[in-house]
Amino acid sequence: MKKIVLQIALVVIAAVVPMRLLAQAGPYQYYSLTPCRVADTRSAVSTNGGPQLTAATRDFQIRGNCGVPFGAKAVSLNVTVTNASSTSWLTLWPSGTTKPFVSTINFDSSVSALANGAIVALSTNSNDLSIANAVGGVHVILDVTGYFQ
Amino acid sequence: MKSTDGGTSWISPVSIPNSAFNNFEYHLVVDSSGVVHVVWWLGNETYHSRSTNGGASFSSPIQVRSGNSYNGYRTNNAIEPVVASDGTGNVYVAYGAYTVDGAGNFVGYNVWVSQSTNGGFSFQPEFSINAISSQQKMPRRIRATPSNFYVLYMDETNNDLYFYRRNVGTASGNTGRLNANMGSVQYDGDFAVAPNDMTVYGTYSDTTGDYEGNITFCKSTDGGITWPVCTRVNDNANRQQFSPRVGLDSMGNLHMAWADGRSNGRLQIYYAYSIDGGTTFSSNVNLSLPVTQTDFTQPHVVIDNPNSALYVSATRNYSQVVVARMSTTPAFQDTNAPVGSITINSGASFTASTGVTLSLSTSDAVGVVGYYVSNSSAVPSAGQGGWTAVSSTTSLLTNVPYTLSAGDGPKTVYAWYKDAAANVSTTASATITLDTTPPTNGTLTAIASSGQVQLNWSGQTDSGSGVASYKLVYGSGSTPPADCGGTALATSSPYTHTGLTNGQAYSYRLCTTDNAGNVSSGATATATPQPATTQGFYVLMPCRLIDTRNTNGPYGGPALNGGTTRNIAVTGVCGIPTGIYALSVNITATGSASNGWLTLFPGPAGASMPFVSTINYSSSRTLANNAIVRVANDGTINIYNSGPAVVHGIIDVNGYFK
Repeated sequence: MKKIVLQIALVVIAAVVPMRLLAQAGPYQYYSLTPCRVADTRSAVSTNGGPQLTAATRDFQIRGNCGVPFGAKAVSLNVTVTNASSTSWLTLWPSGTTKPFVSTINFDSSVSALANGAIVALSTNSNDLSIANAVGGVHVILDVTGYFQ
Repeated sequence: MKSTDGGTSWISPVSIPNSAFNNFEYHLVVDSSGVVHVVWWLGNETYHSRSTNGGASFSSPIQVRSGNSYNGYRTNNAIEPVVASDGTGNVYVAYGAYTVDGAGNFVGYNVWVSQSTNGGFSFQPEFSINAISSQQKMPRRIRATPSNFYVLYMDETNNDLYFYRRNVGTASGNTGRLNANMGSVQYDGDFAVAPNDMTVYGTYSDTTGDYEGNITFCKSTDGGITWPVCTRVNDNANRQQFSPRVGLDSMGNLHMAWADGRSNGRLQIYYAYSIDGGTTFSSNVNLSLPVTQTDFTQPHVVIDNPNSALYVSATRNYSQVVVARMSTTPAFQDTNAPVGSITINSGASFTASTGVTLSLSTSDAVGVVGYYVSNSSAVPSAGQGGWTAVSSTTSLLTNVPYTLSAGDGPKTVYAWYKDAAANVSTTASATITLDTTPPTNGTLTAIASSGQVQLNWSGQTDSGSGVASYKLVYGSGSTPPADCGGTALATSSPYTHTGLTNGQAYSYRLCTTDNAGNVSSGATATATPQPATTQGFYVLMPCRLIDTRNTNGPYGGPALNGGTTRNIAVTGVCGIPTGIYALSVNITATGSASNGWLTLFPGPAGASMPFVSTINYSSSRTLANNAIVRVANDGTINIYNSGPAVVHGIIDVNGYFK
């Protein structure tokens, strides 16, 4: 019985190999920045502005903004959520790849705002960071504090 | 005597009180205020009398000469005077004077001038206008304008005529020899001054190559210092011709009369005119015909501009004075068109606006009365519509707004000027290129390195007028300046922006200006300087850096007040070395009575806070978040509490980048 379980786990790992190749690139050096607000969905509608996130995936543009160079491979962020309509969580991952089953911040509607620090890899797409909200609607604010290159 | 009918009849002579004319010359002028000034000499003195009622009566004569010393010399007499008045109170009397030195020894006859500044009621002490010498000198003519007075005097040593000009209010003047060849003048001469006070017309009888003398006309444009161009006026030669007189009418025409011995050996008065400023003269006309067996000498030319009349007086048979009145002579017809020019925007090559300023400049001896401006080269007639009238003036300089036709490219504007006699100037034109299109933005690249950003730009072009200049501006942060106002960081590519803070974003905008003044919206770029050395991560045993719930101190209380920032030194505690680049922390907020947020950002104390948040807290619970915080060069970070309530902050460190 134990043996079977282990085999299933190996199959799962093999299935996610293409995605993990990206995560294994490096090593990269860290460059800190004066903190800078790179996205705020409470702002006017734009790439890194409104509208509020729904229970869907949306891509943001990090490189080229706030002093993050186009050569950046990952960013260190502070992710803040506010005006959540229900209990939910956000997943942040490099755009253009399969959404991983992870959470970056979990929240519910009882607090006005909640934040968490994160280090997220970026793709080379124009809109290089994907954010998915699991349930309901929520505003997201991204403040960059540095990048890896 | 006076005539009010053009010289046909004369009123009875009026005697000047207390005077006794002898046979020597007297001189009379009427100034522009209508005052008659008479000077004459009697015995050894010169006298002046004035009439303010058109000659009906005259004032008691006053002696002009003072005999006071001037530069060590003084006069002992005053003879052969001439008088001039500028009509504004300045009266000048020039005379020859027996000049003695301080010891009373005779030096020579020199030319002296007495000036009155009160219209001739009294005269100031006289001054000489030539270097005192033993050479015999006598004034021949004097004229005055409000800004200058002029004297033509004879140096009888070699028979030369000298022209003297002095600006009012100065203590010395300029002197130039009128006759081109030394020692070539028959006794007498005359001159006229143009309204510009710089062009002077002089005449004399030149004995060079013809002992009898040729009537010679010379023109000076520098106030009489040099007389480079001379013309012979008499249309024959080898006859006795002398005593020329010249008059200048208000239309710029010149009138000359002189004594001429070409007919039967008798002297008669001949006349010629010039309508081109003395370059050429008309055929000579004998004004004395049909009188024969009579000599006419000593002509004078007087012009009555308001009536377009010309008077020539002369002495007949050395005993009678006769006057000829010439009216509607050809010379009084204005045939000279105005001369003018035009510039657009003071001669600029390019303009960015269709609204321009035309500078119209023109002059005419009689008077300009209108101008015509068009974008067509078709010459207008004087009578057609479209002329802009101006008050008649001999010299016009005016700036007028004008709208060019739309569309980029060269624009030519034409101008014409006309006078009251309907003479239209030749076409004047000026061209300016209209360019309303700004240069292309091109590209701007910003490459960051440690403490500096290298900026390059290229691809900025302008087809209308060409690129004139560049202006690079910058701002801190990731948002480029909205426009290129303010101080220029650089004006040529490449440029290295130095002295920058690593980790801080800098944004740039490059605007390009063309020769017409159009400015491009600009190309933008952003870069963040970073250290040249790589940053490694060093792990720390987790350590509580600060806890505001503890006793007050650098790493303790008090709690963070809403709306305030606290600066925290991070090196030297918790094993954190100096020279670190960033700190990895867990920040906890607790004990607040309100919702709010905390922001961690680099020092030093007083650094402006970026509009970001690190942790959002609420009144209902204790919350924690992890963050990587850049550390300023002074080894400090700042923590800001949005409030409104106070909150306790706890920072635990777990590693750093160095």
